[in-house]
Amino acid sequence: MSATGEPLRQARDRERGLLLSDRLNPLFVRDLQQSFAGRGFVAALFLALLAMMVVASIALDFEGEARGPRALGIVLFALGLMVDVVVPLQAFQATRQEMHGGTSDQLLLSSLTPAAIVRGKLLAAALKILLWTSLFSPLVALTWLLRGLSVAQVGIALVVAIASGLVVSAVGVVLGTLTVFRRVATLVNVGAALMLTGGGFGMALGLSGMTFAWTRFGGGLGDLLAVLFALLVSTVVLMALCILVAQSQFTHPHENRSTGFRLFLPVATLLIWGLGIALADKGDWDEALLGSTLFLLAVGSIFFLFAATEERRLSPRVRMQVPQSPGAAMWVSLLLPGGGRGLLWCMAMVILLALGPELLAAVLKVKLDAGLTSAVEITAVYAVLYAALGTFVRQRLPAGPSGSWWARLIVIGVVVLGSVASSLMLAMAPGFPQWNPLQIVNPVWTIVAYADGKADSAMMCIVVPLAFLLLGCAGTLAEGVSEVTQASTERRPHAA
Amino acid sequence: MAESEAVLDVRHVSRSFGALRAVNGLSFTLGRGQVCGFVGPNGAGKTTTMRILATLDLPDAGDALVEGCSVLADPRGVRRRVGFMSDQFVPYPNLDVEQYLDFFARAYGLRGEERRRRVRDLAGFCGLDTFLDRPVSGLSKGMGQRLHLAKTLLHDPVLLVLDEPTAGLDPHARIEFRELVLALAQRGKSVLVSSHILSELAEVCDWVLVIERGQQVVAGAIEAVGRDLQQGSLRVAWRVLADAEGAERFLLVQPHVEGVSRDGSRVRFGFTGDEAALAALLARGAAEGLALVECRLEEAGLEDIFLKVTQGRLQ
Repeated sequence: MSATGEPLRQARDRERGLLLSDRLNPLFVRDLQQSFAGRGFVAALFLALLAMMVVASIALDFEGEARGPRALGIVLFALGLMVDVVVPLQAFQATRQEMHGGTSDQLLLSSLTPAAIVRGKLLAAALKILLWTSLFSPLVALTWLLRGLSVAQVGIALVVAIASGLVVSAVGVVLGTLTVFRRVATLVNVGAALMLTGGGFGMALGLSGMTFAWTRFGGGLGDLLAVLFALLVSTVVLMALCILVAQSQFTHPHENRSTGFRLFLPVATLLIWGLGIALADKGDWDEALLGSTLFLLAVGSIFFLFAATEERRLSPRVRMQVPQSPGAAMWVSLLLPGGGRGLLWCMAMVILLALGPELLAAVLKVKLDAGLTSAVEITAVYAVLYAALGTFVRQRLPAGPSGSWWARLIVIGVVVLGSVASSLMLAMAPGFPQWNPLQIVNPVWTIVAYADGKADSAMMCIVVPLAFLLLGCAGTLAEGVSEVTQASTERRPHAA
Repeated sequence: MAESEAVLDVRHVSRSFGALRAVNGLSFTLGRGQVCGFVGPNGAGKTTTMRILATLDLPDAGDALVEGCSVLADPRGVRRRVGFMSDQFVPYPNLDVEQYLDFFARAYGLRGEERRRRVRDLAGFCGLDTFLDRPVSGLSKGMGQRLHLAKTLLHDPVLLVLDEPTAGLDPHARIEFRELVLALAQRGKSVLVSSHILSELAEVCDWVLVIERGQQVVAGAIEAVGRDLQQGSLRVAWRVLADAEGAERFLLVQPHVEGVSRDGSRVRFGFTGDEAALAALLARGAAEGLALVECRLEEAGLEDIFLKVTQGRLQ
């Protein structure tokens, strides 16, 4: 090579490096710069190296066939402390700082979107997790050398460790964004620190225990694929939910925070049904489908309540997102925030959740359990009832975020007070009382009684108030769609 | 308001927080290269208006256009054109000045050599070039504000919205900051700047907009507004060689004289009469034996304008 060739190549490499650097998420770059410049990183590195020495000396003292699995359990515990405690706490702290002093406002004035901000934070956490995992890799290799483990088992253990770290870090980011609520900031700070430390420690312990059990179990290829699929789906669903919550906190209240959540739930529903079918034996498919649907209805009720109690009108910025085509606008109206659109989306989702298992059962030629089917039906009606109550209350409260929060608190108050009151009645009544219509205020009790066939009139008792509430919301529902079609008309070129 | 091409056009903007009407039908325009002092008592709605212009808040009614882009319909377009410097600068820990500017340059979508050049140029413009490797959290308040301004300029905005940029700065840092704002105006940037230090605003602003309870009280070129406010009343300052107290007593009983105040050898007062009446007053003063060595007609400054139109009310 000539004398000038080397500098030229260096310049080209530098240029390539700069081009690569340009493509990186700015938050990712900044979070890493901050992490590696801080004293915390040096302290964590020192502790990790110390832990590795201790773990290595303990692992080498093990005897017998299970030396490898036992050593892997300990290594994963130490790794878990780094990826499930240290990294998530750093992610929480970095996000918490972002929410204070107006720096999040400054970010939103740039070209960065809320999604890019959250993505950058998670990418930084992911890189740190990979860094700690690679630091521990010599120890992981040592556990394999101690025998009793296959490469696949070690690989799965590492994937579980990385996935758990990603999910807990995403939770850390979400908790960090919640500190924006100044009235509860101290509570969130303390709660987050306890939750992330305790949860992460528990996760590290669980990781260790689960890995040891898994390696002893030694399942075949089918089990391996099922575990990987379950891991993938649960990680994707949890991460997506955390990202949505975090990015909604970075989004201005007058902009669209809702569409992501409204798309998330149907997609998560399909994935969770798929997961249930993949993991369960064919004989248990009906229970897997209906059980997961009940879970989705319970979790979905939180989504429904938020959707049904949004602002009464489309904000001007969201109006600009309405498609110009009237047909598309009609369909999109279900995904847009405010008005009666949240309740409409809730009803569409409940129909999907109630009919989905029936359709899948027909396709898979499975007979559904009658009791569980009844539980799904009445839970679905309850979900719509509380969402409709939320919409009914919201339209009677003033505009602004506080009106939405009051509506949510009122509905939650109705559920909690109803459940407490009926539980008190139960405590005071001599013997175990039969279900009676007054107990519809306690959804759990009523759902269980209806599923057991002990509350046949319950459905009617819920449908009647629901019908009245929907009548009361009819105007809001119609306005919800007409407002979108009107915005669509205004956006068409000839409207100008 | 502005005679030249309007960079900012605020149209009947209103914003309420519950029962409180923070901004009430505010309208004004700002031309290219103009520096407008945005003045009002505490709680008058200045910061709310500025946040609306920066797209961080939304008006309940009305709209604001920056080079034709609406804060309602095209917030991204507005953000590309507006640089908003909020009243608080919170530095990121464990970053130096260059990394800080580089981060925001990336966030504004600047790439490659352009990003590096912009960071260097702005560091030089704001006097930060010798501080590039200093930790951001260790900067003085004045240097922090310079960094805050440099960050605000990274995407080359046409309109700068500066909310209390000199709050907490020492006099020297305030003068330096004022020079920076003037230099920006010379480069064609329009600047809307709020401050409680009115004498300082008067040094940099060619326009003034005074608001109170969310409503515009007065707007226009500072000299024109001052002249309008002085109509029917001149501000006169006398300097006497001795016995300023006697001069004050003399003025208090004279016709057309109001608001007499004394400051050392100077006596200031408002005069509602015409020039002939003022000449007669001077003659009477001389006949009274006042050792009058100077008589000056004063123009109303920003401080006078503010005090006159708002009576210095707090809200």
